[in-house]
Amino acid sequence: MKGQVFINYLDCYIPEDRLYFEENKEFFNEPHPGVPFDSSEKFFDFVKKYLDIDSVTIEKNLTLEEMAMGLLKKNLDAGKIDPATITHIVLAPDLYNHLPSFGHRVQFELNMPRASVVRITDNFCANIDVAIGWVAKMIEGETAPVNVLVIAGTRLGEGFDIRVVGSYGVLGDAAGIMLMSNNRENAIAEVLGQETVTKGVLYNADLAKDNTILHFQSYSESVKKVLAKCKLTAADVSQVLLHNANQMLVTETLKSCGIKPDKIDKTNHKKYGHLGTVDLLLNLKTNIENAPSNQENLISVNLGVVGTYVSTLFKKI
Amino acid sequence: MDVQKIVLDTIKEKGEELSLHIEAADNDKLKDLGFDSIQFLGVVISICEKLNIDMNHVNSMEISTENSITEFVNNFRVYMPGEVSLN
Repeated sequence: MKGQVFINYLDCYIPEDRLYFEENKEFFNEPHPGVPFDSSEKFFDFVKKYLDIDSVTIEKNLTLEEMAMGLLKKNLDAGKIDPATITHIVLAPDLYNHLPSFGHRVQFELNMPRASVVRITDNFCANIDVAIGWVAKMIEGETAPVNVLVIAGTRLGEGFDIRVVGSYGVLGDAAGIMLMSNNRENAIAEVLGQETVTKGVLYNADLAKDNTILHFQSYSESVKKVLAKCKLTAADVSQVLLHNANQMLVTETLKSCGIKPDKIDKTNHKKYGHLGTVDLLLNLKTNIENAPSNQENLISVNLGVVGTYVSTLFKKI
Repeated sequence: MDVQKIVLDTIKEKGEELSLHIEAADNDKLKDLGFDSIQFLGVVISICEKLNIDMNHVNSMEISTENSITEFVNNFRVYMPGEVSLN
């Protein structure tokens, strides 16, 4: 990336309600698309071995629009976001039909008259990663101030339906926001570069099937290429941010790329479940809060379920 | 280089190491024999080391724990830049 691209602010809304697995055992009595467990025992074995959680966080009262709007208003009221300076609103929720027309509503109701609206879609949980890369490319070379408000989130039903993502994770609900700009002032991190590998062959993949080798190859390609692009080595990476999901395969990939597994930041791994597009925002936020201003290089390595693999390098400021 | 022999020997060695009963089970899927995806990945990594090739040159669309041992051996192909296959 030619021009410098910064992350200036991050915040998330994590609901307090929980969906307990033990109370939903009967879900596994019938087959479900993309669910590779034909009994609750097999599901619990998977959860115990790879996730070590007994529930995921869910929102029972608010819609995703209400979750995101509440988060935005809280931060506007606190002066964390200056609506007059926002030039772009980027929507990056998990699902294509989440937050319909929400960007225009935010532009109008929260007084962001200069802002245009863009939606990033089709990469599911990796929509937020793709959004960061897209914003970075858009900002690249801009000399005028650019301030981008990115809105992510996922909100599913109260049951288990579509929450179990193969043998990868169990989805919870959350909303998140991020400010990106070409202004170093008050920045908390710099986006150094990103590499996305897309495997369209998985466009209609059965999540219950094993695509381990393709996943491994694609993760590996994205990690190696972003390190090369940024002229960094594995040794230059201080910490790794992953989805709060099954990290076994990506851990093997990192090892093959020379990145030690003890660099994975597991702060949120066993807390909320896989929060889709919000995982990256939450993990980046807590990582920076726990060790701010230390100039460390972070790499995020994330998967979008239909074959999107994104590695992004950040430098904490 | 006998790629198929290396593939067969390696999957059998790994099966023995994991105490899986894979002899006389050529038609069962590897996952049903007890290989999980990470153990299977270890097998493929090991084969690549023996063949001295990059994992990214392996045919990833056909090999998986859905294969039987026979299918795995037959499906294992290596695509090198500028070449069709080592097999």
